[in-house]
Amino acid sequence: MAAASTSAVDPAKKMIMLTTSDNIDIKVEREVAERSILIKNLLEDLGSEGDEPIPIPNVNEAVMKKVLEWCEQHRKDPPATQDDDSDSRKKSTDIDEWDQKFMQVDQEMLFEIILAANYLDIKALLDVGCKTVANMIKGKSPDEIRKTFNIQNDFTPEEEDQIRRENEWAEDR
Amino acid sequence: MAFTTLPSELLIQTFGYLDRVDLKSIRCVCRLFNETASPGLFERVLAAPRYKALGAFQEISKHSIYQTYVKEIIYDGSIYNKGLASSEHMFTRHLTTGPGSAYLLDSWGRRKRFKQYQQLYRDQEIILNDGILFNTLVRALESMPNVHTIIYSPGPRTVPAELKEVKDILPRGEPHAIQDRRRGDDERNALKSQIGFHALIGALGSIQYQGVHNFRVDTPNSKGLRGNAFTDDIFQLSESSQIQAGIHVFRQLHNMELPIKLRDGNGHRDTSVKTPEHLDTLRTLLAEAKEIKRISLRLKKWHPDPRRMYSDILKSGSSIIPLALGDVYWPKIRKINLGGLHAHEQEMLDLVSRHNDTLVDLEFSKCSLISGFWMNLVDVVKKNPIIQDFRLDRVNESLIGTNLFANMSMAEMSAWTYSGKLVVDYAGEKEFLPDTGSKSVYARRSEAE
Repeated sequence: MAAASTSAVDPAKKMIMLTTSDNIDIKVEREVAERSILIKNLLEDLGSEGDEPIPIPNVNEAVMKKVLEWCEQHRKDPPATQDDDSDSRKKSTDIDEWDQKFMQVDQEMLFEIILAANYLDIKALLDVGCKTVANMIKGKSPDEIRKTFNIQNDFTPEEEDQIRRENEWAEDR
Repeated sequence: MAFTTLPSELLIQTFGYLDRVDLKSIRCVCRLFNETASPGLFERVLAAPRYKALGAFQEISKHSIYQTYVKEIIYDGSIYNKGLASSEHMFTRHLTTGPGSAYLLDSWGRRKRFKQYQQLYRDQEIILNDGILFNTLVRALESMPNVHTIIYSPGPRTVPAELKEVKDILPRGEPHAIQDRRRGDDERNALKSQIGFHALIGALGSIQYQGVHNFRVDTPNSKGLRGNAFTDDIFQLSESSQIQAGIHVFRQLHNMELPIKLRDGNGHRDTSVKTPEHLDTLRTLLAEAKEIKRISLRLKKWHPDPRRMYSDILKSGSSIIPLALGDVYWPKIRKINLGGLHAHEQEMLDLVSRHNDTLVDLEFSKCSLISGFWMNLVDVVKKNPIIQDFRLDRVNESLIGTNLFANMSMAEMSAWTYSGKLVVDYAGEKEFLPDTGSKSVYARRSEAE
């Protein structure tokens, strides 16, 4: 793999190097890494051959590898359309099968992926992450949601009553 | 890393995938979630001529934070019916065949529900006729600075605050509406859902509210409960202040979606009450909408025979265009979708050519040419460099050879109905492609020449 920087290979297949927050270098094909708009823009701005490792100070090795696994799977996806119908996007929390399996990780990792996808600007992965969390919430009572995500109830009983009353002001559908 | 440590924009995005019931649960989880989920929940509020619903609306408008979240006001047009409120016999008949568990009630229980319905009907009348709705809306709008959309919904819709008092009560609107025997009552009933909506428009006008750019009319979302439709009666405005309020609202609109149900003349109609005067109002309002960018205007209850479709408003069976649209010119229009119009080819051509500079998207659905041919319109559109999207959806010509389209059998009619769209081929040439199974608009080329 030392020959990665030699030219005459398909530029998409060319290897680049990413340095994670815990100082680990990860080699990855340029096309895969460019699912991240942040990395894509960095590569374009640097204008280099991609020989220099690119520092990714906000993402550690474990998360980065997981994110790149997703990018590999989705490397040929068409770029996201600018403003697809926000209504239809909002309603559907359907996730394709591969992504569902991919997201079967512990919560710690799930939120790390979401955070990384946001930082690295990978819109489709961010959507999948948020949808996965939304699906974990759907149909649950407040108490079940607290248990699921280990959240402390920081309301006074009066405040809680008030919120329930306010909920009555808004339609259910 | 935990859920609650995500940055708020990611929480907002996640909650954006939830429906309103789940948002309500989220609000109860913890303070952070309450703050993050509340804007989505109070973005849309219901307005209706009912004490409990209006009370909820008022509470939101008085809340110093929630009042700023409100962006859409959805008006519930469904009303308690006078005929049912004045006949226990008819009420019970509807109740026992209606939805829900009301059929389990004993006679005492039914009587109680009837009394409740009567009470709710009386309340509604007071709210509508004594200016309560109007005044509440005015005060609320004064404290809600961010409303950009108004919606008419046929309903019936409810807020949970009123669920208890409507339990086992007949739902408002169709099919649970009957005409009072007395003549003209149907008229008043139909107008009532509109009076309430006039109060909303009137309130916007009276305080010269700025920023409402979208006006949408919803159609019933279920076959069962259809509520009270938005009908052409709504444009029957008697006072000039009402028309002025309408003009104020229409002048600010960027987007308008108006499916208008024409009330069918069933012989009960007191024609002296209803003259095409209300279409003068519609035409005036449309002409004032100079900021409009997208408009969808569809007359519903389509009938192949214009005499039948427009029976109450146009006896001759001629074009509806001079009445409903006139020579309207919208300087910023980008998208036009027209439906349910019987019109002449020349009128449609003129409409397109008046908007030559800005129009990029054009659709006709269930429209009928009284004279001329769709192919001529298609040819004009093909030559137009600006129009990118063009669709015909079940349109027809009213005379096929020497046969009236309206007199044809269903099979013949469907054979002479055109659907299709504009496509651009590899060479950049525009072509009009009929939908599968649809006849080409050029089928009558020899006749046209």
